[in-house]
Amino acid sequence: MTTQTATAPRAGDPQAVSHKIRDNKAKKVDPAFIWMLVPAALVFTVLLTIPLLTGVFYTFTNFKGYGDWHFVGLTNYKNLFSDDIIWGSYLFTFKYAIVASILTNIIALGLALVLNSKMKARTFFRGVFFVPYILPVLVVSYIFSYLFTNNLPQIGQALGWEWLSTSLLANEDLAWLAIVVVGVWQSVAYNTIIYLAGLQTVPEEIYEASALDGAGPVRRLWSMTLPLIIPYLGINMVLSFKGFLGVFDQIVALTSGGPGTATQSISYLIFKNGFQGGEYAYQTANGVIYFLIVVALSFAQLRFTQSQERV
Amino acid sequence: MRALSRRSFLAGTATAAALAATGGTLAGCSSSDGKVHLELFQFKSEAIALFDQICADFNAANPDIVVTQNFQADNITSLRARLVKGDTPDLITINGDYNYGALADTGIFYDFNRTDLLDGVNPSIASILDTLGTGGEGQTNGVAFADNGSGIIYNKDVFDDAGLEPPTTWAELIEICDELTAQGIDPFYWAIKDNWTGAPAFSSLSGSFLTDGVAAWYEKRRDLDSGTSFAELSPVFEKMYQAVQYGNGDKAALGYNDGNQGFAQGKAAMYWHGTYAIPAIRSYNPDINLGTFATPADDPADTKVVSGVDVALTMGENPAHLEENLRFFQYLMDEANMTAYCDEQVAYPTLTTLSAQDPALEGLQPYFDAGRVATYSDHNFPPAITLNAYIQQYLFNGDLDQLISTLDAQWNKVVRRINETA
Repeated sequence: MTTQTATAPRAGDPQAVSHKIRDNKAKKVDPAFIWMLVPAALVFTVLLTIPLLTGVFYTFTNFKGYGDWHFVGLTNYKNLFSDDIIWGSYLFTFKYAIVASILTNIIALGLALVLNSKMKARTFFRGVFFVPYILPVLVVSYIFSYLFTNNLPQIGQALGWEWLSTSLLANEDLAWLAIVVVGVWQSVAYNTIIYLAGLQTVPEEIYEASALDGAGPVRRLWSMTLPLIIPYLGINMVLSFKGFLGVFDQIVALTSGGPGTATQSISYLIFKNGFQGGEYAYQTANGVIYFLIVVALSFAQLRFTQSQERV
Repeated sequence: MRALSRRSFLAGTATAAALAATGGTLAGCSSSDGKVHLELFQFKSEAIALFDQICADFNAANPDIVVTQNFQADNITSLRARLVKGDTPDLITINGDYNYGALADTGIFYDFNRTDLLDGVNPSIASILDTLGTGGEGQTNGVAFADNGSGIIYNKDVFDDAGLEPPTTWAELIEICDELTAQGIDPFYWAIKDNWTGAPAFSSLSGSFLTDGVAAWYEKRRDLDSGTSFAELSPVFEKMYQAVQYGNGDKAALGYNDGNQGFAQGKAAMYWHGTYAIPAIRSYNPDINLGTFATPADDPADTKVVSGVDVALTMGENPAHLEENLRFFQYLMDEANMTAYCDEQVAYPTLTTLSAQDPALEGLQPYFDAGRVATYSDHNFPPAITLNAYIQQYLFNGDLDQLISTLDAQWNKVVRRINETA
C-alpha cells in the first residue's frame, strides 16, 4: 500500500500507469514517507479501529460494562427493533436533523449572499457572524436555557400568547423546537463560511452577461449562482445533517432528554442508558446500527448532490 | 550531549511511554516504608475535608497503616472502570441505590455478616441494603454508615405564622394546603424542570402505601406472569398530582437548585424532598427554621419514613488487607466519628445508640427509633426505565392512564430483556 506513494504519475497519462505496474523494482520509497505514515496508521488503528471492533464484539454479549459476560447471540439486535424507546429516539433525532439542516442551510446561504455583496464593513460583519461557532456549545446552551426559562415566557405573557407564556423547554410538544433554535444558531456560522468560499468561485463575467440579457436579481440567483455552488450546498447538507444526527451537548444542557422522553436523541440515549443504565452491550448495539445509518445516509446524500452537479 | 537524531528521539519517547505506563499507577500495597497503604474510595464531595481529618486521626493512632482518601465524584462509573481492570479499591463508600444492588448482585463485595461491624446497627436500616441486592442468600454486603430520611421538609416560621401544625393524615395535609392557599401562601414549592425532583414524593407515598413492604411488591412485579400492574399504585400517583396542584406557578421552569434557593427565601411552606436537601437549602439561608414530618398516609398507623443508606461502607470480596480494612471500618463506625459525620452532613446515624441532633431532623427520628422505615420505591427500577421522565411527564399533563400503561409496558420490556440476557 505504501510502496508506490513516491512516484505519482501525471493524471490522465495511461503510459505512466501501466509503466508503473510493470516496474516491479519500484523506486526506493523515501523513508520520510514511512516515518509520517506509520505513526498515523498506528494511532488510528489503536485509538479508533480496535475500540470499534471491540465494541462490535461486545454487542453479541450481555456485558454490563463490568463483571462477567457471556454470549447472547443476536438478542441485543432483536430487542433493539422491538424497543419503542429506541424508535422514539430515532424519530426525534431525524425530525430534528432534517428541520435543523434545512433551516441552517437556508439561513447560511442567505447570510453568505448578504456578506458577499458589496457593503460597508463587510469584514467586520463576517467576523461578527462567525462568533457563535467559536463559543462552546454548552455555554451557549446554558445561556439559551436561561432565556427560554426566564425571558421568553415574559415576552409571551406580555403578548398574551398561551404557548409562549411558559417555558418552551417544559413543553412536551415544543421542546424540540427550542433545541432546533439553539442548534441552528450555533451551526449557521460554519456553513456560512463554506458558502462564502463557494461564492468566491463564481466568476463576475457571468453576472455581467446575464445582466446584458436582462436577468433580474432573483433570476440570477436561481439560474446562475445556485447551480454554480451546488457542490458546496451538497457538502454543507451532508456535514450539517451528520452533525445534527449526533446532537448531544444541547440536549444535556437544555432538557436532559425531557420533558418525559420527548427530546432523547440517539447519542444521548446511548450515553445515558449505556453508561449509567448498565445496558452497555445493548446500547453499543444501538451505536453500531446508528453508525451504519449515518454512513449510508452520508453516501446517499453525496451521490445525490454529485448527480446534480452540471458544471 | 548527542545531537537529537530520529532514532534517539524515538527511543526516548518509547522509554518515556514505558515509564509512564509502569510508574503512573499508584503503589496500592505495602511499600518500602513497611506500612500498609490503603485507599479510601470516597464519593461525597461535601465530606472531603471531614474524611481527610478522620484518615489523619486514624493514621496517627495506627502507625502501621496509611489510609489515603481518593475522592471520585462520578463514583459508580469510575468504580466500574476499576472493577473491569480487576483493581478494586481497598475501602469503598457507596450510596445505597440501584447501582449498589446491581454491583452487590455480581458477588464482588465482602459479606459483613462474617464480622461484628453490623452489631450496633439498626436492623431495619441494615436490611435496606439487603433488599437492593446481595452476593448470595443471607449476605449483607455493605455496612450502613449514614442514612437519609425522605418525608416533607417544612418552614416552621411559615407554619407558625399561619397557625398550623404538621399533619398526621393525608386529609389533614390537604386541609393545610387549602388553608395556606386561602392565606395567599404557596403550600408546596416545586421545581420539576430537573425530572428527578418528582421521585421523592413518589417514593415517600409508596413507602406508606405498600404496607406489605416496598421491596416485596417489586419482587412480585418482577415476576412478569403474576398479573401485577402499576395500576395498583394509582392512589400514590393521584396523591402526587393532587399535591402538585398546590404549588408555585413557575414549577415547570425551575431546577433543583432553583427550588432550594426559592424555598430558602421562604417562598412556600413545604418542600417535598429528603433530608439530603437540607444542607443545600441552608447554604442559601443559614438562619432558616426547618422541620420535617413523615409523608402522612390515610391512616396514621401506616405512615412510614422512606429511608435510604446515604453512605454505605464496603470492600472487595477478597481484600488484600482484611484485618487493616476492618480496623479502619471499626474506627469509622465509632460513635464519635459517626456523630461528627452526621452532624456535618445532616444525616441520620445508623447505630441504635445514637440519634440525630439537628432540629430539622427531629420530626423523623421517632420513626427510625420504632423501625418504621421503608426503602425507596424508585431504587427498585432498573435505570434503563426512565421513571423520572415519566413521572415528570405525568406531573405536567396529569394523564394517569398513560403513565400506568407506559410504566407497565417499559417495565415488562426491560425486565424481560434483563432476564433474556442474564
